[in-house]
Amino acid sequence: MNAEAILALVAQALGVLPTLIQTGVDVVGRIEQIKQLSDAGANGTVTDAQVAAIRTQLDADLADFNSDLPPQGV
Amino acid sequence: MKKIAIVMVVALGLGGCAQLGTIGTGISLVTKSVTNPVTKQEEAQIELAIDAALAVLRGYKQACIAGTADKSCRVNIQAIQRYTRQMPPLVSQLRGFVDHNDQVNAAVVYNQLTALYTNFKTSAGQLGYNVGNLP
Repeated sequence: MNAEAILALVAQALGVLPTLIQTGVDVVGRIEQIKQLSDAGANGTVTDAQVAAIRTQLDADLADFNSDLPPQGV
Repeated sequence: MKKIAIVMVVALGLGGCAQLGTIGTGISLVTKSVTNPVTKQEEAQIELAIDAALAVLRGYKQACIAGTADKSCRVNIQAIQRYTRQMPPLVSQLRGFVDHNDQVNAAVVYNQLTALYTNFKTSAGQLGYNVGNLP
């Protein structure tokens, strides 16, 4: 990862933090996950455990977002 | 309420920016082919990119359920769900093909998924939510 990419990462992460916190997103976990994947990608060491964790997380988030909204006023 | 709506627009915009392709991880959601195979890392990257956008949208949905989002939130969420509900089977297929190194089918499904991801983001944009651009 070059310096420019790292600065872009930092700038964007800082910019998005307040809104992610406000919407209840696990900010620390996500940033750590992004960093780990980035590092592993650069080193060619992406592990099956990392991929499995990402898969599990996406499945859960898709299921949550795709669920029907409860009726209004409930 | 107006504040929440503004926050969501900003959040979705930033969430789009935060989609991992532009966050410095070198993600490139480009068209795949047999000569440009889908690696496990790239599969993880597109899954994280989708998940980053979903993280913000889930917050929007929670605010909508709580009654603190804008009054069009239900319609907006349902419009975006038209795309996100097509994703699970494609994601599942992609994983299977990548796991078995079936690059012909992996490339096909990967390209379908990235197209769906683009549509999903475009749909959000048409609703007034700038969720960023693909790199």
